[in-house]
Amino acid sequence: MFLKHLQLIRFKNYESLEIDFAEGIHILTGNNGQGKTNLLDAIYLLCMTKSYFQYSEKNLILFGNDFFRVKGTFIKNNQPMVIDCKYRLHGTKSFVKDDKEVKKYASFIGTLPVVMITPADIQLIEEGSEERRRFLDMSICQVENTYTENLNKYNKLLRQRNSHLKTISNQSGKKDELLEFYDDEMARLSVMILFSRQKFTDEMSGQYKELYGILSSGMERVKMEYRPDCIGDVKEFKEMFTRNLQKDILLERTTHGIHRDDIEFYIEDMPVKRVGSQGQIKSTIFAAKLSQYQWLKKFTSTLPILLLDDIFDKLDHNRVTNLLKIIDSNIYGQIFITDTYKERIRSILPELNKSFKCFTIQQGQIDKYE
Amino acid sequence: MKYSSQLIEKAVESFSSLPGIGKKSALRLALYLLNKDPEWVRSFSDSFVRLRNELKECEECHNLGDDTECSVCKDKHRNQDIICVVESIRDLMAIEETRHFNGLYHVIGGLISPIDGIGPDQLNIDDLADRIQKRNIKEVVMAISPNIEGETTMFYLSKKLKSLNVKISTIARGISFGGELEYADEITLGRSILSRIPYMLYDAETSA
Repeated sequence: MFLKHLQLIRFKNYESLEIDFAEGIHILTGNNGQGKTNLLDAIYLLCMTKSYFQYSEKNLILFGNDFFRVKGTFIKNNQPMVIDCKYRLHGTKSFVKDDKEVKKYASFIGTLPVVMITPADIQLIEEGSEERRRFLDMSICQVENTYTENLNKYNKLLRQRNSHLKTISNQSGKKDELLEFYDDEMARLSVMILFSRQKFTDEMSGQYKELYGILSSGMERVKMEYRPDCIGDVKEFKEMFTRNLQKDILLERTTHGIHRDDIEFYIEDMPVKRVGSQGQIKSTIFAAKLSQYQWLKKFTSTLPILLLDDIFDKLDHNRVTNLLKIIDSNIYGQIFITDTYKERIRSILPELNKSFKCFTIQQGQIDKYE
Repeated sequence: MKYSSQLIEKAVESFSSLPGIGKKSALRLALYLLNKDPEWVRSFSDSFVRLRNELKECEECHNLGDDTECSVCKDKHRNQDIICVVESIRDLMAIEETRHFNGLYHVIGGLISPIDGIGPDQLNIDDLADRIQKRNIKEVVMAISPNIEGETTMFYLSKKLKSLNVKISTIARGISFGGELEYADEITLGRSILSRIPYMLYDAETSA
């Protein structure tokens, strides 16, 4: 699967842009603030219906305008597929696939699998567990439609339950009818979500070890582990909610559940979060994301698009060379790489076997060069 | 926009305070009224004033009507053994339109949603239980939207009414008429399969 044609109108810093791409590697260079990341985000938006950086739609509009449009022609299984995303200020977003409005985003996501790696991913290690759950969720939702639906439903129930907890003042710890309903439903969904997350992490942990080894030239012993907040069947989840009810009422929120799950990355049995150097943290992120790529490829039976934003950020020359060796193999499809220095990235390109094309981005304009 | 008269401005403001009406439509409506007979305009505006002042909520079922007993409750030809529980008057009207229900109603006035500050106490649920006992109701049909808030409300209702000797049912959910299986979402299709019905009953004209 690859993106053949991209059109941006009033999107971020792009006034109007039309450009053709092909299969293989695309190198985009340009100074800071010229629009490299925005271009990658536009591609991500077409695949995932949302910006990678969780910007709201109104913040994607070119300053001073009242709409944006991103349109892309993808080729999947030798068939063209046109995705057209429009948003008008104070209006609703329209997301159209082949002239047909996409009503349920959950069932569209995964049609065009994508993996993005950006310097902002440092949060995956350094920030709280929310970022790591997002990594789990963004991977699984591309493969399982029901996962997205279950998760959305769980989150809605969680918000209702938390609001309800605020209104309860009784100290008896006895459940009222509403809690009984919320706990039943949430327990049922928890088991399914837990199962999918466990399966995902099990399936990609082997790939993770292998990729980390190649990236760091095999110097360190690493692993990745799913750390669920609680485990069990529906009955056990219900009991867990009951057990924590007193605390929940006191703190006015649901203290335990799958919304507290986490993943932990280890180097030599120590958490990367605590002992990892900048380079090790970066390798961890790349290994995690590239194993996500392999997992998506396997379960969507499609070569996902890989978006690599500013790869030289904090990676030393050796690691970049190793990274390029990995993505140079044929198990990766269309790739977009951005960097600030034309010379730096060109110096390692001759080592690639794959065909590549180079572009420069300047103030929302893009030029192809050989 | 600048108006030549403060009276026009006031009228435009009034119209545009209605949902779905912008300034331009409001001006068009205001100018239209100017072309009409003064008597017509008086009775037109009167209809809203009277609506607001004189409309009564039924003491029995919370439907709206001209009296404290609504037309449905007054009608003794209706089946007095069955109550259909709905969220709002709009849902009641939708069900009346089908002409397939001949029982009584109970408008609970919303759905349980703690986020919006709506708990069971804010809804007309307690008097539903009283009504069931007092009137010796045989069946309660919950005609409530199957979203999270609706499911919560139905669960709560069924728990509240469990101790009463009354049959509790809910409207069927599944593939809509004229719908295509291919485009139905997985949850709807899945539920339709699970709650399948004997074919002969499929288009039987049953009314309560």
